Amino acid sequence: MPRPFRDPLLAGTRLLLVVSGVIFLVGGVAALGALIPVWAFGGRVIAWLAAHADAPPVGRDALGAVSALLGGIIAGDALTIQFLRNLVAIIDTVGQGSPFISANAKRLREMGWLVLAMQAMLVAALFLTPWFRQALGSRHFFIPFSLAGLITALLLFILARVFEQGTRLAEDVEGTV
Amino acid sequence: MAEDVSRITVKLDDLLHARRMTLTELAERVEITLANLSILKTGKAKAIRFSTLEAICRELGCQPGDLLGFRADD
Repeated sequence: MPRPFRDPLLAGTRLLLVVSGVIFLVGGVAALGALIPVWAFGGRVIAWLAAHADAPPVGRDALGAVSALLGGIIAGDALTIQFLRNLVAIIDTVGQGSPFISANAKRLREMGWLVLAMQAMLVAALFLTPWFRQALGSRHFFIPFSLAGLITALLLFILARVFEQGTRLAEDVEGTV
Repeated sequence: MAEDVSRITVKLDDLLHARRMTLTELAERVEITLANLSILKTGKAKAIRFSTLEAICRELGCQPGDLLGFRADD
């Protein structure tokens, strides 16, 4: 059996993903923590927004918009962290020399759903863009959107099927002498 | 879940005994790991490659039928 992480690509990618996961975790916790002062010092937040708005006035639901953005960041970070955890787990199985297992097919399918959920959040935010602009008094507020997430999700679902087939083949080979 | 029990029997033990050869010696001659030959000997293998069969028959001077048997239902 090959020893884990002899491959520099696997080791480097794993390290990068773990570091990214920690950054997303810190970002998510920071966004969660930011919700408290946003509501505790709502008046000052609105005053700051009003002072920096490029299309005043700031809407009455500005605090709601800021909270929705922070909520989106928290949810997006949570989905991303779970995505990265699955990817690290898959890399670990590659390092251990047995990637074609049903658990990896399940992980890939879950990753596909996670990407779809992120894509759905972006679509929702896209529809809410006029409300955000009005609430935050910002003409330049925009949500970056592309169909890359959808393609990635499809790719992951197909890879999950490939791994299911690979698992069956690996089980066949396992008992062959 | 009950494990499927194959009705194919492997008579490697008998062949080795008749030729006074150990499993380790055979493994070296046919260039198959001792672990894999042990799996074959104990009847735990799910399949056997023609190349493995050929190598074993060559070294033991036997026919495939001497190595494998079929246990009919009682």
